[in-house]
Amino acid sequence: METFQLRSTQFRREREAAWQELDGLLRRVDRSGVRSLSALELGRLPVLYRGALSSLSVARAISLDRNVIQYLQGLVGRAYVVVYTNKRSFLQVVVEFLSARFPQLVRQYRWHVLASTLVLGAGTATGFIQTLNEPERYYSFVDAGLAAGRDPSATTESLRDALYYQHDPDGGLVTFASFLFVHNSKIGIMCFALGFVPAIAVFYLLFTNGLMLGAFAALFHSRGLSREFWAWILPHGFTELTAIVLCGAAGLALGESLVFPGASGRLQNLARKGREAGNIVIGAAFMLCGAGLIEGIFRQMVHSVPVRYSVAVATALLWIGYFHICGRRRR
Amino acid sequence: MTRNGRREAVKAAARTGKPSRTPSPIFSSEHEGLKQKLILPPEGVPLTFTVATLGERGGAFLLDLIAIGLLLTGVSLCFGLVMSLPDSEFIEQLMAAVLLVVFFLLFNFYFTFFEVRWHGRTIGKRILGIRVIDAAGGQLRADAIIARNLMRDVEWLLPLGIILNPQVLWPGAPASMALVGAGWLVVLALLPAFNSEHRRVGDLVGGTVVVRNPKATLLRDLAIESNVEAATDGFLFTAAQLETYGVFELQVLEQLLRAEKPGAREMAMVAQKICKRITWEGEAPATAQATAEFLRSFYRAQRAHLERKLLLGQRKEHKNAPPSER
Repeated sequence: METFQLRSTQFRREREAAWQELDGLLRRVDRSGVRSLSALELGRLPVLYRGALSSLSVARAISLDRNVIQYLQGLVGRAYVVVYTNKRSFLQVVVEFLSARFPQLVRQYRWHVLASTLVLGAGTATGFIQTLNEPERYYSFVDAGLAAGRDPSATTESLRDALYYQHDPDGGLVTFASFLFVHNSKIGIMCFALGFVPAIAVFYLLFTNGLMLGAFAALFHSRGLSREFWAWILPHGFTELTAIVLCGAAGLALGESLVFPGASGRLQNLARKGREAGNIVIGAAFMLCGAGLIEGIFRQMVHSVPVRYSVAVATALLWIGYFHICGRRRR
Repeated sequence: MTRNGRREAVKAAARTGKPSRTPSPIFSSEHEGLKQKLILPPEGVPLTFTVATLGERGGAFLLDLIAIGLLLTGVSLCFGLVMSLPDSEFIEQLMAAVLLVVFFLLFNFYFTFFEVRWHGRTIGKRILGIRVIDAAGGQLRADAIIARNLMRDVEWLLPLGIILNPQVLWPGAPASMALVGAGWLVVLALLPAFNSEHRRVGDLVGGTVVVRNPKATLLRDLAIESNVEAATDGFLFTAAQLETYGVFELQVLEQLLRAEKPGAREMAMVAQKICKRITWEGEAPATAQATAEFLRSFYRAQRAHLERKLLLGQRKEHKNAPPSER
């Protein structure tokens, strides 16, 4: 009885089988993941996706069947999220990131790193000079909880002891190490996230951390303990401060993208910079993990000043080499 | 193509490629009032997704918080069990250290981990059928997921910390700083309510948007169906009669015909209106069955007519649109 068919009906009849096949594959991916597909089916997926996409394009032009257009819209949407997604495993992402992407990004943002180093350095210098001139200022720079008794009222002897033994009542070395990691990572993440409030907060955070460091240094310096103090702080400090500086640089990049959007729109620029800067923070978190281990374990067990200095130099060389060499493309 | 050029292309496609934006007044589909997000995948065919509502996003977030809570409780119980077994101080310390790190990781990287693993979905998002996609239509990459989730700290963890203990800002901060924290929390937490795509700060930084998982089922082609049934008595329409309506009315009629239980009264009313409007000269359908048959054949004839004109480049959007002269 079918004397004549609509063009859109004919079009649908020709392609419906491929749509249904794609639908079936997507249903399985939704239920049990991409891994449940065989190699052959996996190869079919993008082919069917492009086919459905072209069907949608044609249907919009020739068909007035609303249901078909809506169905294709949904089908292609479901296929799109499966086809255009991150396909590597969590571990692969981590390895690729550490071996290439992280140092590349740090090189890319070297001016931001420099700026945030300067801010931290300025904070340290200010804290140092101010505390040296007027020891009372120490209390406004350093949080009582962090100082843990290491303040101007302490005797030189107890300060010296603090450099060699950690008086930690309820935890061993390992606990202390992980506490430090968590504490420092929080500061790092904060440095980045605060970049969204156009970067001013990042300056504040970097500067106050510098003040604290400077105040500490001045306190120990005034007791003639400078050499031991830097031996105490640098083995982990180089790694830790670099990581904090990197987080600060990421925050600055974020703030900069909002204030000076450049050629593209503000939101697009924020999105692009945000991804890159966020990656730097993740890399810094890895560094802080290492710093926490050195600080919590190594520092409590090794008390020889020359060994502490050589470890400090070794970590410095390691990081400089890493950021300089890793991830460069071979020509 | 430059980014701006691309954006223009998407806009142009939105103007021309999409069927009528106005949904039917009678059969306001579940899409009514829900914001659609248009993206342009690399193939260049624009796609629309339904933006997830505030309720869905808040619900997913609550579910995820519950999941984190359960995970933390589970982990703590396991560790408590291990710690109670041997009486070694070293193991106790080690466990305490690991526990601290596990708590930190769970709290900060729960969202990142699941969104990388499940292509933009967490447990809560899975349950509620929503997911993260790239707002520009590209690939949803791991770094976008990382960036959007790092911002959670500044969105609610930090202000909440300030409210609970203003001392975190600086030593000796006055208690009134809690108000600042509250203001911050309110402004950033309410940001999704003030933009049409319900994007939070993390979405802006990561360049992502949260949408509903698309789902639509393929129904029978009404044109074929009516072909068989209506052929028996054959309502015939003249070309002049088919000039009356446009695409919008056709698709409203389609929705009426596809409705699960079309009310007889509504069908009769619509048939009556059509008859009047196109000045139908034949006998008006009297019974419910005749009405249905009349509407189906009218749908088919109207669709054939409009699609034929579509091929000639003449798209009539609705009945009041001026006849296109091209």
